[in-house]
Amino acid sequence: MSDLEQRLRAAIRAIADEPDVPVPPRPAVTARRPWLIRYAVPALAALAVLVAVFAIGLPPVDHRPAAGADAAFLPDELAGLSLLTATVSDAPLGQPAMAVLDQGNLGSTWGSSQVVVIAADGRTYRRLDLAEQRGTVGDDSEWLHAPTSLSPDGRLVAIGDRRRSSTPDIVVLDLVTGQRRAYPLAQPSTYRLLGWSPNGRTLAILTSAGADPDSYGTAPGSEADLVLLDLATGLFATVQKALTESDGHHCFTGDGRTIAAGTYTDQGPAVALYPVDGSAPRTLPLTGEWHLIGCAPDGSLLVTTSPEVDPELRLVSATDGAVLRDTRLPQPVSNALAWRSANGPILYAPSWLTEGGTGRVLAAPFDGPVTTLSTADEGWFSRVTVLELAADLAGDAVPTSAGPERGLWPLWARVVAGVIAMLAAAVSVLRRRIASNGRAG
Amino acid sequence: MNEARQRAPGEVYAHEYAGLVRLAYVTTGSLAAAEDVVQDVFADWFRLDGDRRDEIREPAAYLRRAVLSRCTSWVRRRVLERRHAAAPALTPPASDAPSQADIAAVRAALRRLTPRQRAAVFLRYYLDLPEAQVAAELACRPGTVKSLLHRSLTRMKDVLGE
Repeated sequence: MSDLEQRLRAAIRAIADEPDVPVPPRPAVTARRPWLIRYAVPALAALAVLVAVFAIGLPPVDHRPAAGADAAFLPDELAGLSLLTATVSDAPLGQPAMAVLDQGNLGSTWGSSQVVVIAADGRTYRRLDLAEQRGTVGDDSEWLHAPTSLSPDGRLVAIGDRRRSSTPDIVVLDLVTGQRRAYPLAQPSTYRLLGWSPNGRTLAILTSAGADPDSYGTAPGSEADLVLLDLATGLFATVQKALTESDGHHCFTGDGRTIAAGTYTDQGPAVALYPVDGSAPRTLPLTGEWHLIGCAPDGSLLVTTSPEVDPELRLVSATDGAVLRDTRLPQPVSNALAWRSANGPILYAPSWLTEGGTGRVLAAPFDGPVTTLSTADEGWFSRVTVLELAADLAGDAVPTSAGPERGLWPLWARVVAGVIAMLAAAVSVLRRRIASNGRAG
Repeated sequence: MNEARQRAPGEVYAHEYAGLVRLAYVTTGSLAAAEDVVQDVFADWFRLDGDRRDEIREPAAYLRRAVLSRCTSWVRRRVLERRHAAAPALTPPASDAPSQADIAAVRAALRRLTPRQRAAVFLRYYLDLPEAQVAAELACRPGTVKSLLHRSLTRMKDVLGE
């Protein structure tokens, strides 16, 4: 151990040992009531409401199906989530999607966190209910939605599985029609969606045997296989076996022949390059605090600095790591969402990288000024934690302020509206009777 | 660790409480929050019936994971509520206690680390856990621990002037 590490260790021990920590008396706890008793009253109440609504038979709310669009649009401001947004299962988009986003805050018990898709018209919003259903409660007791990956053309979305199933599958959902296809994995395993090939025919995943994912999702274990799923045939093909795991960014290079993976070696950050034909991988070391955030259409790699230092952006050669282009950024970014050109990435600058600031979608050309295409406020219902764009559509997307159009109200909302209407009618009748009795008396 | 399974709940509480508070303190940067978190974790643990508690083979590791999970939620909520920036204070509870240069520098560096990086540093350099066990406690992969520690140490070396 170096002298420096010894100093660090001593300092950390001193800091951790600073507080005087008296041990208080054991906390007094009471046994929980049996679950049946705890939930009986709310369940009965919910049942009564449902019976009342079905008894009165609510008329359907007028719902216009989403219209197709010739041009692609991106909302200039991402609308906050709403409990009244229809689901894709109930009302498919009827057109490709421009974006998929995780929105809201911790937990989803009361719909405070949703997975939302925005159509290519920039105004039609839907809840991606299947991704919410395939989530699970994390170790911190908060709900984690299943991860998603949007195809380059925006028509399909791959949905992961956090449910710790012994027979996991990948579901690919057609957002235009609502049709879905499941691709079961051959053996109990966990997997992580990495992304689509540029032609949209292949999906890359990391997978490892065993159905026990870590607490942060369906991430593989310490060793994982890099696997390609052919969407047409449903066949899985292993590209590389027993990789040292990596939780960094992954992307297909522009020609679709290699998968680049942000990784870490003992010497520091690096990019691992895995040819999809199974030939020997190679590692490209990065200097300092740089890390991979995207793959450019021309085959070069996009890297940025870690959030703790001044944000910068670089294009580096995938051959030898040489710096090709370099620019500064107004705020830290997490990943590339799409490309306007080989020198013009569209980037996501999430609010959580700027300590509560506004989240932004930025067009950041290396040969021009950075412009904001879309924003997401850091509000309770508008915070966007994960954002994906349809790569083929977003490059030409035009910002729009139209919408949001949220479709048919979900069933529970119609139920509540029905109950309120019934109660209002009952109160009105009662008041009239009381008034007429008063006059008669 | 096997003898820990034999310990009575009260003994585990007395033995592990202070260490867990220190872990939560380094992770959250707040002694008050650390005490709340650890109290809550123990309250939940005591609520487990005897059989379920006996199934936990390593109470210390189980409790550490529970504390780290709650610390993560606490910090996430604090950031969401904007009452705290992403860098909790980690100020010494004993006011005006003289600090050596290294301690002051490392304290400054810790302020700039994420809670997860802090937890990794504590588990590795305070509890001397091997990287594989740190990964298990943080419920992440060993490579992630390497990344967390590398970034943390780089930052601390910077402030120590190396």
